[in-house]
Amino acid sequence: MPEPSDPMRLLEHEGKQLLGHLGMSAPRGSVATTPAGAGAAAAQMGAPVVVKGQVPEGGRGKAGGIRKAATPAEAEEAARALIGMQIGEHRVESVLVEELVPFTQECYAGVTVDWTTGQMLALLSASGGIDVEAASARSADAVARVVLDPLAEFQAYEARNLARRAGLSGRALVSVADALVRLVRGAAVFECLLVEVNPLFLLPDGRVVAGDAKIEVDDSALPRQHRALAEAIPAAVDALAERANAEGAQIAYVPIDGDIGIIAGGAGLALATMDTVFEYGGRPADFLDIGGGGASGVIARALRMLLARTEVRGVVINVYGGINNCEVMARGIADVCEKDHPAVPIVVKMRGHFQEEGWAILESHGVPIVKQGTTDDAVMRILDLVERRASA
Amino acid sequence: MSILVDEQTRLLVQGITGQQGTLHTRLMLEYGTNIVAGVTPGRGGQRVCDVPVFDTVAEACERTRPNVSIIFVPAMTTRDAAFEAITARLPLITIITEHVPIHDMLRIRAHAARHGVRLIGPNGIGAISPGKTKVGIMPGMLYGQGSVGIVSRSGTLTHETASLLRDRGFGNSTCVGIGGDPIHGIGFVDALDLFASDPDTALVVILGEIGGGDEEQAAAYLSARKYPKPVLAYVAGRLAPPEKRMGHAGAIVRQGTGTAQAKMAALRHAGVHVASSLKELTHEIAARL
Repeated sequence: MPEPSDPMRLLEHEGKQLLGHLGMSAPRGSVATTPAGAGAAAAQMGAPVVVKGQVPEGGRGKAGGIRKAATPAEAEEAARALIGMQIGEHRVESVLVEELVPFTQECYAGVTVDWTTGQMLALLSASGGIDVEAASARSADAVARVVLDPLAEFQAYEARNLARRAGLSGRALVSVADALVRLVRGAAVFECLLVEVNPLFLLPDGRVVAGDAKIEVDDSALPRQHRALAEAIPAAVDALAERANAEGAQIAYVPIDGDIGIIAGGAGLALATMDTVFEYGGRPADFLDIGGGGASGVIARALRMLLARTEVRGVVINVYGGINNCEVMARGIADVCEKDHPAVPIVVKMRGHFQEEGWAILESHGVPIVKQGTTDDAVMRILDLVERRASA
Repeated sequence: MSILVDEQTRLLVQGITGQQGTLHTRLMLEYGTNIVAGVTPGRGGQRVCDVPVFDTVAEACERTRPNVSIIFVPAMTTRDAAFEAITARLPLITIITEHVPIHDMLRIRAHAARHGVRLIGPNGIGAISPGKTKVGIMPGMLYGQGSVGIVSRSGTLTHETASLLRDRGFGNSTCVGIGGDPIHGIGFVDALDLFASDPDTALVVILGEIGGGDEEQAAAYLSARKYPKPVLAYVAGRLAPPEKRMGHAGAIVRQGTGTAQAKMAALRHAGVHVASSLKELTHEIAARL
């Protein structure tokens, strides 16, 4: 199940499709999922080409995920090496075979959210490529930035001002500024959290071409954006539909290596419960936040998911009836107990709105409840029950 | 006195006829909150728990003079509801809704700032000044009256801390949940500022977690001045595996910053007592009251 807390990152070729929709040029290229396909693509395009592993990760170049190929045979070999390669948290499943661009300069253009200040920024640099972060660290002037006003439309002249500050002039200034306007407007229209073109190639005739595309889309905006995005990025239709559906699922779940299942209402409480299990010498099996306003189905689904893991030897449920309702949550838990007869102990710590009704339901199913106690109490209880069962 | 909300609060509930709106209107009224009106477009003239419903915020304000709004509308219409409240110059708006799109929040924040409107949330529990008023979804019976101010990124951790205090005979001046989203209204610093001059608050508790920069900003604020009251903190996620991304959407640890350890160190450096567990936190608060 995808993590809702992980913004949707498009693959490079998908990002370039979106940029094309916004009126920006990208190098000629095609996607291949097999080495033979990559070779054929290179032959059709006329080698030399560059073969680029498609994963939603940065640092592909440094990880060896981007290779030049002088001939179709080399392209096939490069694809053979790249497909299946692990880069960061992802495995390469396809490669983009692209023509080489005879650039005169590599620039950097990006739109991003500055999470520290809670503002969106537009960024430009005349020295792009892999060293843009280093350049930015060396000198504050290396990357020119401007805060974007969320209530006003970004104007072309503002982009030209930024390009001047980045040290650009002549045709380069005009083309790069024009590209930035497209990126900013695209980010606004499609509700992107990041739109980064690095490198943005300058051609001898002054035109610009997108060397790469890193685009992150806001998951919470997908309910109203996924159709427009799917139209703009046919290659991502399935991924978008899957993400849009998952957004409504409301469970944030990260499995980890352990045997004490945790279900909590609220991310902070989930983290605190994990911390407490670790503190008492237990090994949490997951981070799981059922979120707010969920029906009994949500907690039942979460519980079934954990119980389906054979390594889970007990589950501690730590919830409050605030935005959630104790009675509704208890019914979800009871449903699982009734229908599935879980083999492992479950402890529920639950308090808040409709607690009496909730406790009554759980008590009638023999589920141990921590009513007035602490998270420590609930954790100690589950660890005790798990240990007793193990030595029984 | 308390901060943000008190016995002078006259509350407007936006989205009052929805499931959450109606349920929490009832629960807030039971708590004693003075709810003067509700708004749901198209339902003007109806009553919910005997609270008059209006079609527009403008009309509700004209007829009943609320001074705080709480928003329960769905995520896709939250921006519209917030803009409506901001335009009506309601001084404080609390957004309970979760999954509000980030671009909408950027717009809401900017619009609120330009009109001098204070914002709480989104994706938060609201604010409660026990014994005076509750503007939010917290289970009021878990919160006692007292002198501990709490500002928190986690709603349920707030319920936990408040209930632990109450069970030991202590209580809260005001508890405010700033919510779990990365782009939000007031932060730790705003609450610290308000608590500093609140005669009802003797001690402030910060409840944080991994991700984002709120705790670091609080540490910088505290380091830059002699804060007049003891500040304690707990940061959830201390032992969470760092290579895995977990937490609120705002809890993503980006490029190595935002770890619990870094936040705890920053806060300690600023003179905050940072507890390593909830158990220790309660003990340390009690020891200072």
